[in-house]
Amino acid sequence: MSLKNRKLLHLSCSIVLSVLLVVTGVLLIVSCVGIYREGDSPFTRESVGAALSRIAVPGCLTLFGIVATAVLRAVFPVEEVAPRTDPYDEMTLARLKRKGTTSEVEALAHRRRVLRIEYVIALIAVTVASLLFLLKVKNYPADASYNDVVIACTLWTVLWFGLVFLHGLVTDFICRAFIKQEVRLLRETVEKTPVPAAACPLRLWLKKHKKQVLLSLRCALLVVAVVLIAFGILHGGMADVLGKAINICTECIGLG
Amino acid sequence: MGKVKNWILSHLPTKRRLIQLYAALLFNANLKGFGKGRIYQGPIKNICAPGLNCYSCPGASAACPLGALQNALTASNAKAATYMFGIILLYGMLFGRWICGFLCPFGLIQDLLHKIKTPKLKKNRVTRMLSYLKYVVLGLFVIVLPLMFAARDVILPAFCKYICPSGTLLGGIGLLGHPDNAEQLGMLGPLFTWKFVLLIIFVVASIFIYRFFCRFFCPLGALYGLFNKIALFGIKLEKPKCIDCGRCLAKCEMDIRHVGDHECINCGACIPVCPTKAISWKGSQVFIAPNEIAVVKAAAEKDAAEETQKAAERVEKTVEKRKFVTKIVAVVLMLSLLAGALVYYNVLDKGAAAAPPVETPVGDTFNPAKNQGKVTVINFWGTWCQPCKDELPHFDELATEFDGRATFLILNTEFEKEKAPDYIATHFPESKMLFGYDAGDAYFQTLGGLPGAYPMTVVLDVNGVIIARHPGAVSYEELKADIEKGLSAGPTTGLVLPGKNVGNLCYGQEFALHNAKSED
Repeated sequence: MSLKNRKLLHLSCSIVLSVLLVVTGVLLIVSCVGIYREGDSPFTRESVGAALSRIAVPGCLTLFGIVATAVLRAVFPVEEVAPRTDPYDEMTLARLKRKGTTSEVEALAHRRRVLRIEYVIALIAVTVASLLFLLKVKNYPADASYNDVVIACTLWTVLWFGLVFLHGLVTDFICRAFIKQEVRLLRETVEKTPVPAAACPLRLWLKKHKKQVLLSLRCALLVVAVVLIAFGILHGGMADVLGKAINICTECIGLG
Repeated sequence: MGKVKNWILSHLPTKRRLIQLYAALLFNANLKGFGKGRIYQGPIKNICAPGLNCYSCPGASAACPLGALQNALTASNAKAATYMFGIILLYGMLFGRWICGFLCPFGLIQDLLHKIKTPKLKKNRVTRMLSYLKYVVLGLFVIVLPLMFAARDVILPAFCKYICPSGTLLGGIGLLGHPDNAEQLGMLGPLFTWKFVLLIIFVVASIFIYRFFCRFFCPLGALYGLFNKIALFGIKLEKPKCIDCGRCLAKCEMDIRHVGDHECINCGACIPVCPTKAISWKGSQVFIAPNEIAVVKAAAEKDAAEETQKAAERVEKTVEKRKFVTKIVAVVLMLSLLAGALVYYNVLDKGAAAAPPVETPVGDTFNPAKNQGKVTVINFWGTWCQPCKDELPHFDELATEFDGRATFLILNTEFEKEKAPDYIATHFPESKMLFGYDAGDAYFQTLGGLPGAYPMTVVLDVNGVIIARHPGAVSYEELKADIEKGLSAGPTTGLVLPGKNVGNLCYGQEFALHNAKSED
């Protein structure tokens, strides 16, 4: 079989398998939700068995698809494409900057830095607003369902993360334009002589004594860990772990 | 035949895969638990496994560090979680995210799912930003929510309860999927439905996106990632040798910015692609003594090429020999540990301690089987269990409402024999309910309880026949309906039958009471 046909075969199998997997996943979710909506204490051996038998065919097709795809790809292999280098433009920029820089590049980098600072300020503002809200949530009524409180906290946190994520995405998108421009300029005018790095005394000292600093830090953390564990054992922390591990609160692991 | 042989040889499991399988088997060594549908309840569960492995899994041989941490934080108003902080610090400092790459059973499941041949979503800037979501999950669900509710004396391990897929897959499905536990399915409701939906999303997404849960949601990975740079195990990058070609970044499927950062799971996939051998395992130089390097350097300084080459070859041979011996010793130790664990959990361990002989209690006692003429409600609970504590006030209300017609016997586990009376004295000083403890948790199992799974409520009618058994929490309305049904039962000549089915006459046992006098 020619390479082109093999690639086509791989692609077709992958697409069919993807569709089967997603469909089976959706059917599983729909079955579970369907059982739940049937009424009080709906999960029984019979209802679960009936739901599983309804999705037996797509499930078996999916399993067959997985096996068939694996066999076909083994029998008709296609050499894997080597991953491209430089997945991030920033790595390219850093590498080129070590070889030299220009005033235009510096100006672009300055504008990029300003944009990042603006992003951090917005992040701090949104975080403070969220924390203020969470502090208010602390004063929920004593008889309020804690599920409702958890849902409220989660929704607010998701909203916060969503805003931060969107803002970061937009900032990053704009910054990419700057980076691409900087990389283009540097590629045109790069020189071979490297630019010496700024000499921050603390950084130089850390670089020189890296091994000793690392060893000291590891020893210190090890001692702290051992002390905490010993203290915990003496005060019954280990027994608490055992108690929780052998006596399960079913609702606490999501069986409810 | 040659093609088949080559295919098999090129698809043999890697060392990393073997270690992952080994770890999964070691942390789930209680294989007989899968056969019996029971969790391991022995003393070794006070040790935490380093990876995400729910302790409700029938095979789990150790506790889950995340679950234990949350439970410790929920009790932090009474006791500081020093033991769990120490454990997390120790594991993080020793292994960092090497645990994610080699020891986590749920990571192994995701790796295997990702091998299914479908189009894959490659990492990009968006996934890099989304990778910070796991810190949000860590902050909110593992730290803030449990602490917030601990201040109100409410136990809420929020991550385990609302998100953790390991609990749903291994505990929920692993435990309740056993035919003997089919009756426990009645406890499932909206919470399980939500978690099952999440589990399916994680599983399907892991097929298309490498380590979907690990990269975006796992708080344990978030914690261990903070220690990646200082951990003893893992990957290291020798910057003088690095030429910033970016091949390691391109090969890695995690959202790293450079090798060994907080996103790196130390899988070692980048090591063979580095053209200058700048990436290696930490501690790989431990096989070479400093004086041996000095000999090679001295020969090089003398500018004697042949001597340098001979010295280097000698050092290389010595290193190879040492590595071989170390490998043999490590393999023998690991196999011994695994064999010992399998033998201990499946052969030597006799399960939960056999119920101690019932001594004749001194003082006030109560026997459910001798309570004819009244409905008896028997509840099994524990102070660590928030749903158990939540339903006790409802029982108290019903006990007052049906005083003289129904008796409530509330039994705590053997484990809390000393702790429960304080809680009862504080919260139910004048209650009509009778409180006792279940020696060896034997009565709980006699009445059909899933060992270790609380709460459970059993209702007997006026003749002592079991008319209802509720695994999990029971609502006020449901219990009231059962009591009224029990009160209206006619005379029966029911037999005491073996087994745990509703409709049997209840086995009796004398229970020593913490509080009220027994009713005659």
